[in-house]
Amino acid sequence: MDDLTDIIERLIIADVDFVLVGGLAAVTHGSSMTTQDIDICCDFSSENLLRLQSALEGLNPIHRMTTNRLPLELTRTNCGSLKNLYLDTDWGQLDCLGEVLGLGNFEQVKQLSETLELDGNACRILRIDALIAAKKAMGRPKDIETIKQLEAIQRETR
Amino acid sequence: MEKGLTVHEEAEAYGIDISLIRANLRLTPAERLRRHDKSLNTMKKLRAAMEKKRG
Repeated sequence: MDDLTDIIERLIIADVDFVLVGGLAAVTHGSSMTTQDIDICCDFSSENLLRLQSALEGLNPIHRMTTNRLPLELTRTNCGSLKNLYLDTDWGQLDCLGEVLGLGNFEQVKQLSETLELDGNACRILRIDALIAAKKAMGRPKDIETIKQLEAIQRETR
Repeated sequence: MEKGLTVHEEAEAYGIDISLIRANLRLTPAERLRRHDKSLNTMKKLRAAMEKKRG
């Protein structure tokens, strides 16, 4: 296991419907920021979440935000109440969002994505204009530099 | 620090994910460096994929 792309590859192979968003998307577009986790926006249907769980099999996924770091144990029944998943696995952190502030739900986010070939697999990634809009909507001081970088990248690559 | 906010609240308001820091603190320093290396490899690979697409 070399890197977090192995988690992304597992998601693709398991046919999880997702779009890469957040810091890794910013890095992919050329930002010099660094990030340690994978942020995805995904379809929160029980079918898709169960595929996601199966993709992480053997990596001991746990709910990172819970006090007791409870293991990920999705069933068709408990999937329905979920909006986001913040996971830690043996290979790194994976945050799964049901929607992205400023952009909308998964289907809307998917419309704002483009496809990238990653190790021979097609991977959906949020477009740079949508990523800037999402970062602006978050309004976090931490994102100010990333927004400036992404806007500069947009000008450079037009 | 803003009045009334704890250090953690202020960090979260800034946009820092405290749970990621806590996850890092559970690791040994060597494990943290290995995870960081993995992240760097991932970023390198994704940047290269986008550069290839842009031609």
